[in-house]
Amino acid sequence: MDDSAQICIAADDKSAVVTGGGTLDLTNSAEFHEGLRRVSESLDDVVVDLRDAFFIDTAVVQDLARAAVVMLRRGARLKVKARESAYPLRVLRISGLESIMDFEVE
Amino acid sequence: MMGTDGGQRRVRGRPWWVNYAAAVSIQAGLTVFLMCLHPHFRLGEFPAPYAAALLFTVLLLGEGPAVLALILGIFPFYFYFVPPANSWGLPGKPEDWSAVVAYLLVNGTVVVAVGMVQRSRLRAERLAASLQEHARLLQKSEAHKREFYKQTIRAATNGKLIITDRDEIDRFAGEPVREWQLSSLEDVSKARVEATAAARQAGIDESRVYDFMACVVESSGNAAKHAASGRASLHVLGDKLVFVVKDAGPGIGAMQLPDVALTRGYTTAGTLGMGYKVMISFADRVYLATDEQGTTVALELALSPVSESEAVPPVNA
Repeated sequence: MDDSAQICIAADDKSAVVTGGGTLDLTNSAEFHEGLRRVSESLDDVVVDLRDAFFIDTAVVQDLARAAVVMLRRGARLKVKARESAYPLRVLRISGLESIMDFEVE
Repeated sequence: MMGTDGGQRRVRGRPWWVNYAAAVSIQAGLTVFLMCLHPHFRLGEFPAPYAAALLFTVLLLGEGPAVLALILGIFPFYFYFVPPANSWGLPGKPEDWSAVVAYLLVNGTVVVAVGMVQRSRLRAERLAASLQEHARLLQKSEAHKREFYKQTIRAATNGKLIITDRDEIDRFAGEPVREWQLSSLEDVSKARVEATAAARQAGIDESRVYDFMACVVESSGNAAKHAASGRASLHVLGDKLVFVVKDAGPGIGAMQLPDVALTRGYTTAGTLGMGYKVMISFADRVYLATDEQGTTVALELALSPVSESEAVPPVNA
């Protein structure tokens, strides 16, 4: 199990992809939090890619929820990519975020 | 203290007329006694024993019998002791008039003053009894509400979230195999890594590792974020792991729990709410004790996945 977090934020004028990999929790997700906050406030096409994440906690879920709500106010929807059998998707579903963001499941 | 007993009005536990008869008897007895002493005492000293008798009467028999005794007492006092003695003639000297006035003033004051004190005391006693009754009813109502709340939460979470007390958690968790101090997010990270390693060492099934890890991170994170510090411990009970986190923070707002336990989907209860939702979902049982002294949460997970019927105890168990 990888206990570290890999975070990558790629953005241009119109869209952004925020990638989170490894183990993401409140102790190591400050960069993810800040990056997602920044792109969600300015862009309508934001994808969060969690396909390489093994674990996320509710601090990350809360970041996603905040970003989704900010984008919803502008009429845009956050997209989240995750693997069907992976733990992060279970947490996202339990947290009830399907109603405020779109999941792209592999 | 008045009451009724089969239609018979009772005062201080006795039929009302007994008190009046006793008051008259006391006055009569005192008059006879004073008649014997009359040659040895001055007239001006007589109001004092009458006042003492009235005090005794008002305290023991009540205000009504004392007023009767005061009125009846003036007649023998005037007849026997006020010159010209043994007659209804008017007193000749001013000091004899003074004795009559003194009798009325002193004894009247005693009856009125003591009567007022008695009534005030009675009112205070009734008020205290009423307050005590209200406090008892309030306590009963609170206990009922707490129990209803506990049962509702338990039922709504399918028996997974159990509201309990700290002693109960300490009793069933027993001695820890590992402990961690939680003062910072680094401590939470350390607890996550070490507790997960300890869980693997204890034989946790790989399919449950992330469930356990989520419980560790959410419970420890709550202590570090919302209570500033706390302590975590891992307990191994046969084929179960129990991860306990204690903090001395302000406690979980009781009003937040129903939102966590009852709301389907996204809740506005914040990270605390989401954290509990995750813990309730991934642990087999969550024991929670929370009040203004802090929060203790115990997360129980079987080492191997358990079927739904095994994991969920009957609601009233």
